This record gives sequence, C-alpha cells and structure tokens, in this order.
Amino acid sequence: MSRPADFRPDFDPRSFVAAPTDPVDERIEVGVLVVGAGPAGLACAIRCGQLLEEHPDVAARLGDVPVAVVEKGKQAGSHALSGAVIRPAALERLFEGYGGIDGMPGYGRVDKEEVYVLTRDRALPIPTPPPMRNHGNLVVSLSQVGRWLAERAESQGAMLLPETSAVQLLVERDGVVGVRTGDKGRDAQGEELPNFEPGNDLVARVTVLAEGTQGHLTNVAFDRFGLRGDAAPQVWELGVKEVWKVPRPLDRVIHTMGWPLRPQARYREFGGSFIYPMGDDLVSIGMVVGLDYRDPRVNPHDLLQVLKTHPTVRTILEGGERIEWGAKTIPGGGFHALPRRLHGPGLLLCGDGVGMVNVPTLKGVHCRRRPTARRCPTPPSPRTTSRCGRASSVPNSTRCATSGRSSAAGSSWGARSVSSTPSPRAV
Amino acid sequence: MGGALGVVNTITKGRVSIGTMTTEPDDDAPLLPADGATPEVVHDGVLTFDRLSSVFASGNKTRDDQPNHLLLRTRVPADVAELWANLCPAQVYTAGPVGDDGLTEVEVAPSNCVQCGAISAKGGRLTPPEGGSGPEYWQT
Repeated sequence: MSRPADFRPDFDPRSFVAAPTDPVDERIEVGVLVVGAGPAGLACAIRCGQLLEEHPDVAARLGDVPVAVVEKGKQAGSHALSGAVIRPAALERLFEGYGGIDGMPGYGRVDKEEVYVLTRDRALPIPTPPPMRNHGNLVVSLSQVGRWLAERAESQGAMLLPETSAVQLLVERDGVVGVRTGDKGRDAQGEELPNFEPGNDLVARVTVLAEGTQGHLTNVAFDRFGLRGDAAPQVWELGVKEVWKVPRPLDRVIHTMGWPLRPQARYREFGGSFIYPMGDDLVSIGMVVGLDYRDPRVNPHDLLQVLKTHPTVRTILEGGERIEWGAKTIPGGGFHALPRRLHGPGLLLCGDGVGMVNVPTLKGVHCRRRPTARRCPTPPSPRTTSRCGRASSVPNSTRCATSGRSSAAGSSWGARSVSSTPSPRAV
Repeated sequence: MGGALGVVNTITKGRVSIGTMTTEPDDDAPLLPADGATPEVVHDGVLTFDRLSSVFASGNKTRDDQPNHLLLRTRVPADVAELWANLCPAQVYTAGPVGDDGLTEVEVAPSNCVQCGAISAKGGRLTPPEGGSGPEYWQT
C-alpha cells in the first residue's frame, strides 16, 4: 500500500524567500508587521498599540504606520473557525486597564457539561476527564471575536490590510525585513487580466508571523532559520463544523468520543465531536479527526453528517436549520512538536502556526493571545542606523522578545499551558 | 500514552515528565483501505448535506479563474487519489480514470478550497491564493 509521504509535490521553501525587489521609494514601510488577523496576530497588534501609547516617542520613530496587520480573508475573522470554548484569562489580562472583555461578543460561561461515548444508537455518559472540564470557560464564535479584536486593534492605532496574502518572506543580509504580498488579477495560466494589480514589498522592522494552522510563511521560516531544531514532527487534526439555528435551546456543552470513528488501533482514528450552545437559538456542532488516520475511505465531511443522524444528536438539531459550515485543521503535536525557537532575526512566530494547542483540554485560543501579549514586553525602539543593518542589530523589541523572553519556546505561559500536554497521539 | 500523561499533567500542572515523546508525520504510515470507514449517509438537504452545499454555506467566493494555489502531484496511485478525494471537506479533488501506467489522474478544483490545510498534512501543499479568496465565516 502507498505512503502519501512518497507523493509529496516538489516544493522548495527557499523559493518563497527573496530580497525586496520594489524600488526603495515604492516599498510600503511599517514598524511592526503582523501576518494574520486572527486572535494571535490581533492580540500582538493590540499589545503593541498599548505599549506605543505609553511611549509616544517610540511610536513617532516607527513612522506613519507603527503597526500593520495583513489578512488574506475578506476581513478579520473571515478565516477564523474554532469550537469554541475558550479560557478567558489571557484576554482578560490583555485588556486589563483597557476596558476588560465585557464588550466581547460571546454566549456566556459554561455551567453544565457532559461527555458521552457514542455507539451507533446509544450515548453513554462518562465522568468528565479532568482536562476537559470547562466550568467557567466562555463559549464564543471565534469569527465574531476576530472581528471584535480587529476593531480594538484599529482603535489602538493598528492598520488592517484585508484581502492581502503574504506570499514571500523578504530576507536581506540574513534578517527578515518584511513580506511580499500576492499579485491580484491573474488568470489560471498566470497571465495578467485587465484588472491586474501586482503585489508589494511590505517592509518592517519586526515581522510577526501569526498565520494560523499550516501557515505558509511560517513553514518557510522554519526551514530558512532552522527553527524546529529537534522538535517532534507536527501533526494535525481536521475539524469540520456547522452552526445551526435550533428551535429549543441546548443547556450544556457536550463532547463525544467513539462512533462514528472506529476503535481498532490499526485505523488510527483519533477524535471526537463537540456540541456547544451559542445562546438560546444557536448550536455549534463539529467533528474532529486526527489526520494520521490510515484508511483512504475516511471522509471527514461525511463523518459529521453521519454524527448528526445519531439519535442523541438528531434530537438537538431537529426542526432547526443549518446556517453555516466550515473546516480547519488544528495542530495536534502538543509540547514536543513546538519549534525549538519562536524567533529569528527580525522575526517572531506565534499562535497556531507554531502549534500552540493544548490537545487534551481541547484549548488553544488562550495560548494564541498570551504569548504575543507577553512577547512584546517593551515597545519597539528603532535604531537610527540604516535598515539594512538589521541582521547585525535587530531592534531592541525583537531582541527582548526573541532572546530575552522566548529563548526557549517553553518559557511563555502559552507554552507552559501546552507543555503540560503531549499529544494524545504521542508515543 | 500521550492521553494518559495529559490527564496526569492537567492535574499536576505539568510537573510530570517521562522523557522524550515523539510523533510521526501524518502522511507517513502506509494506507490501509477497508470497508466501513464512514457509515453510509444519505444527504437529505435538511439534516445532512453534500460537500458542495457545505462549501456554499461557508460563503466561499474564490474566483474560479486564478492560478492554482494547491501544489500536489496529479498522477498518483489509486489509493492516494482516493485518500485525497475523500479527505477534502470541500471536494477539491476528484480521482479520475486509471491510466496506462497504473496511476490515477487527480482533478483539482481550487476554487472550492476553504483553506483548511488538511492536504498539507497528507502529502500536498496549500499556499495562499489571491487575497480575498476563500470562505467568509461569520459566526463559526
């Protein structure tokens, strides 16, 4: 039988690393450039904004755009998808003294929860395993939270650039100097259409990659700067979820294990489902399966469809209407798969891209915010020397952030949260 | 193993270590085709849906006429083609006929893609499409 790894495409990460090509006066210059307007990237932008507010002299030296966030989706939150039950501590800390999180869109705290082992037509309740206890955590829609965080980031002075993909890592003299954005308006053969718009060199003093799961430039940076070291290979789960409008409110958070996944170890079908109430009339339901499964006939989309036909699940949705659908991978390698360094010259990495997920507790959103909030402890203090000196002298903020704070990936709160947790699939 | 240690470490706040643990890349193990992977399901359009209606429900508005952003080999053994065809929740890949060389042609529909990243774990590579492409999640 074939191994999919033997059929990987020819892919050279180095072809996505280049020096800036736009003439110097046509480059777009920003202070801190964040790639990805998800919870990690926006928390970083907000924290930088807060620090720059306290240090206006530094803000002035960072130029017209001290903090910019590029996002490939139509807007912040467009590509954000999660369960989501989140631990609020990191967000509360981020907004401490900045109005708190009372205004954040959400569906209240979890006060009832249930874990079931499913068979084809029965649901056996089991005691909630300690990592899965959710009492006091918040039920949210990550997409809504993304839009809210984006508003907060903008009011904190960050510039958001939506509909912009970051396709190349700009490197000069061994240091990251920004990213190149993707062209728009090419046809399937790559020819320019009448509405063609070329990409731009976005140059920055610090580039923060917060691209989320399977981040394109994140993986390119791992290769270019050897950041993974001897870390275990990253693994992923695939989550497929739907949002339903339902006639009867659901009163508890539900997780299931077992059916429709098969228990035999040889198939390696690790996973389960989640069913979360979103207020009185919405329910979020999703199915997650580890991608190391071996049977090519596993169909993750249809596993969720089958799950909904289970008597216990059907009762929750009956008479309702599906209003949204989405899918996203989740990094599942836990602590042992975290890159050994989360920084390079002029570069920081955070969030799902580096694998900040505590798998047994099914939580990651808090880790995405916390490290970024932590790793920007002092405001950027740009040098007065020329930009190209970057490699030898990175801005202080990067130094503080990259060598002071995260010299080991294991020193941040997020990594500590992940550190208690190997992947359930680890051996 | 990892699961049990996860429970212990949640209780002890991460104080237990048992040395090195490792993982294996998701696409490393040989495939193992079997019957009954996903129980039969009828897509009734009320409770259960097919993949194309799901892609529509994601708000996906990827422009059809743009360069393919998914890198993968399009002539592969039948079991790999079947894997990709079933894996993708947005039905981007279709396994075509088997050619003279015994390999299957994989057809790719990049505009269905919701950028979930699964293909990168299973032997392909997702790169960013034109900015503004992909789903428009609203309350996911």
